[in-house]
Amino acid sequence: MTASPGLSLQANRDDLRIAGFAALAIVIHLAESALPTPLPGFKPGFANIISLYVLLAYGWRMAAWVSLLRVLGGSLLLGTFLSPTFMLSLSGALASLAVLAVSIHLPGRPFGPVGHSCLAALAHMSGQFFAAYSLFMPHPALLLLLPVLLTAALLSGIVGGIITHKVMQQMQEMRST
Amino acid sequence: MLTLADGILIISAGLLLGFLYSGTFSTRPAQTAIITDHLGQHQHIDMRRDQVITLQGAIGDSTLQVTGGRLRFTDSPCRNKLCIQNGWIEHGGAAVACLPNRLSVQLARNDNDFDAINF
Repeated sequence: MTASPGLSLQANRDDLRIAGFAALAIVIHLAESALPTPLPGFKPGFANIISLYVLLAYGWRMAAWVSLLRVLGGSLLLGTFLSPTFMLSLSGALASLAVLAVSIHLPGRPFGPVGHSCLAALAHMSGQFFAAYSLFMPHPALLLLLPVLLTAALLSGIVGGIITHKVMQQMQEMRST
Repeated sequence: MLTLADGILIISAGLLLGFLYSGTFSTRPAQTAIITDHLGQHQHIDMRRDQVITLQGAIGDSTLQVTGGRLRFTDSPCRNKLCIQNGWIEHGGAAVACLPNRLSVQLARNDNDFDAINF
């Protein structure tokens, strides 16, 4: 192909990995958004399992790419790009990435998959909640929902962490055989 | 599967949640009562001071008693005396009313409690 030198794109191995994982996360994100939600503002967040796996296997930088591409791609496909839903999703993703940046670089890496997952889920919910509170509904009644939402986040964080742990075990077995 | 730090994290998150729940759902005593009379006029009274108040309503005088942060109707010219039988109210958001005499009283904290929240 005769492209001008400025436009030629070289995808390296990391780019391809990011694209693949982001695609996987977007599919889960879409499937999840079709499920009815038990609580307003709550989703099980299984798409984050992908981000978490990438974080543990390939590091924070790639996880950030996958997570933000998931938010962008998911919103484009669902038609919520730049809508309130997108803003909430983005602020949640940014908050959890910020917390994970700290937790993954702690000396001695004290947390396992479940710990990272819980921290990310709680940060995601808090970021999303305070974005909702400050941008859309600055009403004190909203605060009554916070403990319920955080409980749901903690539970989904534990479940997501266990699933990530299983996935990592499987991947290790596949690599060793 | 769980590291020590994971366990500590989950337990402390659980404790924090318990603390949040108790902070959110505990009811605190009301500080003011808002009285609405038969002319639609509002009057605020201090719930921290014990007092007996006589109010003029549509069909006569009703009496309210405030004692120890609680409030009740003690006398009313209505027929069924439902306002009196309603008894004491004390939490923010609680209300008592005498419909025949067209008087109502609602308690409020500094931030008013909600009787129902709908999404």
